[in-house]
Amino acid sequence: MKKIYLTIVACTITALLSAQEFAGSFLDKFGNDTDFEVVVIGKKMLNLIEGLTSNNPDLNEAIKELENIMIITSRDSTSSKGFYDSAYKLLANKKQGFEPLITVKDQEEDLIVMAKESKGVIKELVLLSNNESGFNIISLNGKINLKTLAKLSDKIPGLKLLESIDSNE
Amino acid sequence: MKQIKDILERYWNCETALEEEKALRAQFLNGAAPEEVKNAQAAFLLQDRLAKEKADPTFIRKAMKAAITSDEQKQRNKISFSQILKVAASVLILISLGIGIQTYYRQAQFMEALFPETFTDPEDALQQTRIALDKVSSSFSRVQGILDIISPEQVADTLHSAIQDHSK
Repeated sequence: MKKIYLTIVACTITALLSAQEFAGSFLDKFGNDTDFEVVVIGKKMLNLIEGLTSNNPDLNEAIKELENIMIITSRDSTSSKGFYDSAYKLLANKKQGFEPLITVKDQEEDLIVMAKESKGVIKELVLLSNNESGFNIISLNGKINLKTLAKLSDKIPGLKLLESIDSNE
Repeated sequence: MKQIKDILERYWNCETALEEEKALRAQFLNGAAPEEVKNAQAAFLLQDRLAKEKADPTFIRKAMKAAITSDEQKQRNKISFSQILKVAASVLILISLGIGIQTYYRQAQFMEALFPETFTDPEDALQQTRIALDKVSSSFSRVQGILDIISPEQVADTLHSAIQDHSK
């Protein structure tokens, strides 16, 4: 019985400690040797921004449930492909718990959007992109509603698709 | 004196009758005995004392209780040590859980300390937020091109299945 208790405790602590966001994990691994530009918009600032977006209900709704936004950028075009591949490997690692939503690969840009879900709610959404301008990670954390995000763009046909997905969840 | 000696001799050989034994016992217990049979008298006196002690009806009960009490005390000592171990294990578990939960909630504070807010002006933060959210939402509309070839329902089913499979 004692062994069972100790096993449960060990698993709980491991689970709790492993809840680090992807952007943090990426910077832990690669941030020391490279000058990335890191932009952090935390919960406190998001709360202030919410007050500024009362005239835009869709944007207001999208921001309301977010915990933070992290943007990591590298303008070094020679290394950007390498960063993209490394970030993708880290993101695609099953231990991270992400599922791919969208993958785009064309002449202009490599782009992938992955999401981490818990009990039907998307808790973290990460966008990786690599193009002429450089390498980019956008990480959204909190309660993410795809339908709400979709409303922010004015390109309708793809959004109606996302609206139908969210209404089925 | 000779008579006593004879009866005594036959007593040691288990040849006496009950009345003779009673008489012998009465002789030794009630009166002074001759010097020659003093040892025999001491034996009879001892026997009489032991007989009286054994005759106590509660003796056996007392003896058994003493034995059981001793066993129970040993058992009690064993149980308390085991209980102490259980309590210590429970305390250890609670402390571990407390540390785990505290670490989890400190993660947010740690992340804030490691990656502090970039902006002090909400307007600047709003602008950057718009850029980030526009980038994400426009990536969704990138599939619009694919929709011309594959039906929206098929793409929706694929994404929906991916989300549902992950939640299982």
